[in-house]
Formats: sequence, structure tokens, C-alpha cells
Amino acid sequence: MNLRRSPRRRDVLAAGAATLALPTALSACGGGSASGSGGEIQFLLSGDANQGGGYQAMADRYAEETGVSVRIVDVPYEDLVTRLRSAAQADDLPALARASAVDPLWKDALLDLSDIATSYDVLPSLVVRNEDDEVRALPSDLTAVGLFLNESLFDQAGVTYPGAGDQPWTWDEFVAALRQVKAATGARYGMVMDASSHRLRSFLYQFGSQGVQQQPDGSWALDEAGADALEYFKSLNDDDVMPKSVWVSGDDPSALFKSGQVAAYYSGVWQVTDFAANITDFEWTTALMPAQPTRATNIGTNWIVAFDGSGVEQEALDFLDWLYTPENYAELSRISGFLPAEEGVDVEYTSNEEAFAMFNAEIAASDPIAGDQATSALEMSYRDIIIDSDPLKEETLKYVAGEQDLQTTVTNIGELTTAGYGA
Amino acid sequence: MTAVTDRGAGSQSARRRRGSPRRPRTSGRYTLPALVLTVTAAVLFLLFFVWPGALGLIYSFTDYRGIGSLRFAGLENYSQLLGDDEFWGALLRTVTYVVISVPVVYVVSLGIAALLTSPGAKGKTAAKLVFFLPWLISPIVAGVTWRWLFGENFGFVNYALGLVGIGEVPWTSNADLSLAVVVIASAWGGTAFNMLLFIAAIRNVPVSYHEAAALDGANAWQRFRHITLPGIAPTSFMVVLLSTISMMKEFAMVQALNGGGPGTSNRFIVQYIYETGFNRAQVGYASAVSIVLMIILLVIAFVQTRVERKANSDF
Repeated sequence: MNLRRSPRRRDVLAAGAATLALPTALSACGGGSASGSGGEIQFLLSGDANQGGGYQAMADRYAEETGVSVRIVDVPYEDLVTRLRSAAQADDLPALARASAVDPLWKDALLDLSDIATSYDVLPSLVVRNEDDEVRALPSDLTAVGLFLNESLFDQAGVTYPGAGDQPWTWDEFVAALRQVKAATGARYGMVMDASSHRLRSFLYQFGSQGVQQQPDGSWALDEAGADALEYFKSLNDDDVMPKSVWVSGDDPSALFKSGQVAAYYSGVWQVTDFAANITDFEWTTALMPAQPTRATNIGTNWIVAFDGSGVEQEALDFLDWLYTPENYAELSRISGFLPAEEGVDVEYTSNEEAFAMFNAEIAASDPIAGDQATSALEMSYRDIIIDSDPLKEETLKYVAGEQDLQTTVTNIGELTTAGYGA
Repeated sequence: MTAVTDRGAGSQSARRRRGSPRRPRTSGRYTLPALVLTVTAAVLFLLFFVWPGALGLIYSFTDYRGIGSLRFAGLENYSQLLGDDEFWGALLRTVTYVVISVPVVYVVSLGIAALLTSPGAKGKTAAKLVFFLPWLISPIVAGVTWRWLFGENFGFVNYALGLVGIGEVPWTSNADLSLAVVVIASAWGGTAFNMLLFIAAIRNVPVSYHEAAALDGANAWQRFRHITLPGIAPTSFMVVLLSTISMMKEFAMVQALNGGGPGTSNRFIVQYIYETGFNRAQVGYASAVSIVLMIILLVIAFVQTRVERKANSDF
């Protein structure tokens, strides 16, 4: 019996199999793009059913009123950046987009939206002008970090919590309350927090930190208060207040809170409509976030941009002008569950009015640092500077996982941010 | 005989001279399809393997960030890579995973194949279907399924352990336990195809060898050890080689299962390539890591081929 095969064939097969590793490892994900055609305004965005649904409803209404078609192209959040980059490289940008950041790659293809910003009292703190005094991006809405409580568990434990007009609790008081609730009700965890640098930033602000800021020598660094906050955050993960698996292993904090086994959830306003629709097993509410000693949320926004070269530039500007009129913007905010980024807009939310009021109260009482992330990112984009990584989250994640100590974490956050910005 | 041959030759030569109308059609019938298939395969290979590979090689000598123009950076990416702890950490964890997983997959696949080819086994067809099902499931779906099973907070396994009085096990926040889950999921997903290879190989081992050995008094283990195992050596080599290469490139399943966590402690090399290339937009650097991975795989394939050739020549 001949059990041997030709060595040459075997060598070729082995080498061929190994060679296949290269394209597999390098293969990139591409994305199509959307462009205006036939007078249609294409509007690329990423949103959940409420957000995307809100824009779709407004597009339908606009078509009824004017006969102009606005096609909403809703893509997964992770794909939006790639889609816009690919479209810019292929000279096939859509007429409009709602993006989380303005990319230096396509920032020069943006139309000036100054007239709309000034006509409709868009929040001055979110109107960022470039060096030519143009407003190239309008805030679509406000998002803010906030605190959700499992009201049923708190009531069962007889533990009180501060409402919108009350004095906020400190983090120490809040954690003590969580321990009480946990002990009295048998809840599995005191709280969960989204594994996000956006949420982590507001946590840092609440400890008096200014976050990761540029230093006089041009480098970037996390301040001492931020380091203390990170240490506090790790201690919450190391005991049974928070499940470590959310930050270090990617467990879904929203699902954990919805299970009814977690007393509090540190997340954001976008959860209100989801919770209103999907939490039926227990009562939930919002409460003031802790301050130790600073009161701060982290204001976020998505940016509405209009592109030059779509062939329907004026139609796109007309649509935006129509969308930002107070009555239409209020309707969009009502459907999508947005906090308005326009002053003087009266939104009649269909439900959970008090939750939205709580977020507005948090924004009003926040330290000015709360708006830093959104506006400074846009200012940097205008200067062609964008950071593709997220050192604050990535290094904190390693610290919480026990892979490195606090000093290394703080040093790495500064150095990687500096390198990322090319400072 | 000669006359026939001569007549045939003469006839052929006459057809050649006359220009037989059937000759071109016969030739086209057999060459055109082969040509089309070969060219198609070659074009696909060039387009989807050689071209991306060449692009990767070019990028690895640049500081390309995915947009804009290329700037030649020489060997900067490669020298940076040598001092990159994250790269070495990811490579070491990948090798650890491969060293554990390949023997597990090999033993489980071979064991199941041996059972399914055993004359006394019942329900072979149903068993084959059951064992083959994981092969049909996407690695992403498999990763999500195993993540759910071993979820630390509301996973089925921890729930079952709780029912029998065993406390919760930190399947996702402990690095080694998390890797163990990846190994189990990998064995589950990788067994099916290798099992089929082994079944075919075992069936090709002549029954007469086993019968002769049995007459000489060899027991089942001795027959398996001294007849079956040497008989399926080429298949064993292919299973080990392909499993090694496949696991060195593991990405989708582990990304869905634990995302390289907890933290970055179970980040494999292709995940590192993905993160540097896409999340950090260091396409040039990620390409350099890819090239290094390809070289490592070529070396593994070469060494394994040599070892297997030597083993067979000894046999």
C-alpha cells in the first residue's frame, strides 16, 4: 500500500493554503454609496426605528407639501463613516447626511448652512464656524448622558433618589444606595454603564476632571481628577456593584437593565423611547446623576451636513430650511424622541415627558465642560485633524481588565491621544 | 499490424493534407471549456488573491491610512512591529490558542470518525448529520450562540451550574476561562469537516490488514495504533496543517464570542490586524502585520510538510 503522496503536490498545497491567509487578513469591507439622482434628495443617516422613522415621517410630509422626494437611506451606525468615505472617494456623495462627526476627507465638499443656523435659533453653543465663518454642520438633536433607575427595586427597598429639582447625590451616596437596594431586593447588580468613552467622559467630569485636554506643549493628557475617577470606576467593577463583563467582555448593559435585575443604568436619552416601548415587567424612571462634586452630563449631537456636487444642492437646502422651522423640528423631535438643538421649540412628547424634562434639567445644570466633546471634535475636523482610535476607552478597558495599572493607563491615554492627533 | 499502423498513419496524414473538417471541432470541444474554466479561475485568483496580496505588500511599506495618498515609509512598519508589545501579545495568544485547539480538534474529529466507522456502531447516518450540522453554521452565529451559552450573567451554563449548587463561573471576565470557551467552540465548529476527511481515510485502509492483525492476536487499540493511524497519516497531516492555518487566522467566531476579551487578553492576531487597520486607520501598519502572518503560516506549512515527509519515509 502506498500511503505517500507526491511531495511536490503537497508542498504546493501547503504553500497555497498558507498564502490564502494574506487576502483573508487584508480583505476590506467596502460599501456602496448613495447619490442624488433624478431630482431626488438622498439623505444618508443611521438611526434606530425611532430616529430613522422620524426622518422618514418628515420626508413623507415634505413630499406631500412640496412634491419633492427625500429618500432616507438608513445604514448601520458602524457603516456610516465608511459609506461616506467611500462615497467621497468615488465622487458620489449623497445630498444630505446625518453623521456623528465631520470627516476631513469630505469637509471641503460641504455647503454653508449659516442661513439656517441663524434663521432658526439653533443652540449657539453648538453652532461651530470654520475659519471662513461658515457653518458647515448643524446639530441634528441633543443627546445627553443620564441615569435610569429600576423604580420598582428602589421602591421595594424603600430607598429614595433625587428628582429634577433636588440636590444631586454624590457618587459615594449613590453607590451606598445601590448596595441598599441590592441587599433589600436581591438584585444581581447595583448598576451598569455603557462601555463607551462618551459615558466615561461624563463620569470623569462629575469627579471634577476636564477629561483629556491639550496641554500648553501641544500634547494631550488626562488630568489628576480624571485619574482618581478611573480608579473609582475600576473599584466599582471589581466589587459586585457593576458587572465587570460589560466593560471587559462586551456584555449588553441595556439587556441587563431590561432584565429587571439591575438597579440603575448610566446611559443616555436615546434609551427613553426604547424603554417606554420594551420594559413592561417593572417600573423605570430617571434620576439626577451623582456629582462628586461637579454636575455634568456629556452633550452629544449628530451633525446634519449638505454636500456640494449632488446636483440637488438647492433642493437639499430648501428641505433643511423646512425641517428646521420650529413646528417641523418640534414634530421631528416628538417622533424621534430628540432633545431639541433649537431654542424655543416646544416639544410635546407622546410619553415619558418627565424623563425628557430630567435630561433637560441635567443639561441646564451641567458644567460647561459637558459640551466640550461635541464641539471640539468638530473644530478639530475643520482643521483636518481627526482621531481614528479611542484611547480613553481602550486603555480604560485594559485597566479594568487588570492588564495594566493606573499610571500606565493615564500615560497611555495621553500618549496615544497625542499620537492620534498627530500633535 | 504494421500495415494497419501504416494505413492509419497514412490516413491521418491524408486527413491532415485535406484539412479534415472534424479536427478543429474536436480540438475546440476539449480545449475551449478547459480554457474558459482555467482563465476564469486565473482571473478570479489574480483579482481576489494576488491583487489584494500585492496591495497589502505595497501598503506594508507605506504609512497609508485608508484615505489620501501613499507615503513610502521603507521598513518603518516592520521595525515598529518588532517593538510592539500588543503585536507580540496577540501573536502569543494566537499561538497558545492554536497549540491547544489543534490537538483537541484532531482528537475529537478522529475519535468521532473512528466511532462512526466502527462496525458495531448504530445510527451512523443520524450521528453524521448531527456532527456535521456545526459546519453549516456561520462562525458569527456560532460565536453568538456560544456567547449566550457561556454568558456570565444570564448564560445557560451558569444557570445550569446554579441549579446544581455550583456558583457562577466568570466565563467572560477571566482570560483563561474565556479562551477555554473559544477552544470548545472551535472544536465544535471544526470537527465536522475533519471528521468527514477521517471517515474517508479510515475506509481506505484495507480491511485485510485489520483481519490479519486480528488473527495474529492484536486487540482493537493495537490495530488502531499500528494500522489505522499510519494508514491515515496523509489525512492527519492535512487536518493538522489546515486546522493550524485556519486557527491562526481565526477572527469571526472569536470576535462574536468574546471580542478578544476580557479587555484585550484574548485578542488574536487577525483581530489585531482588524483593529489597527480599521479602528485606528493604520492600514500600512496592519498590512505589515498581515505580511508577517503570511510568512509565519508559510513557515508552519513548510515545517509541517518536512516533518510529515520524514515520518512517512520512516514508515
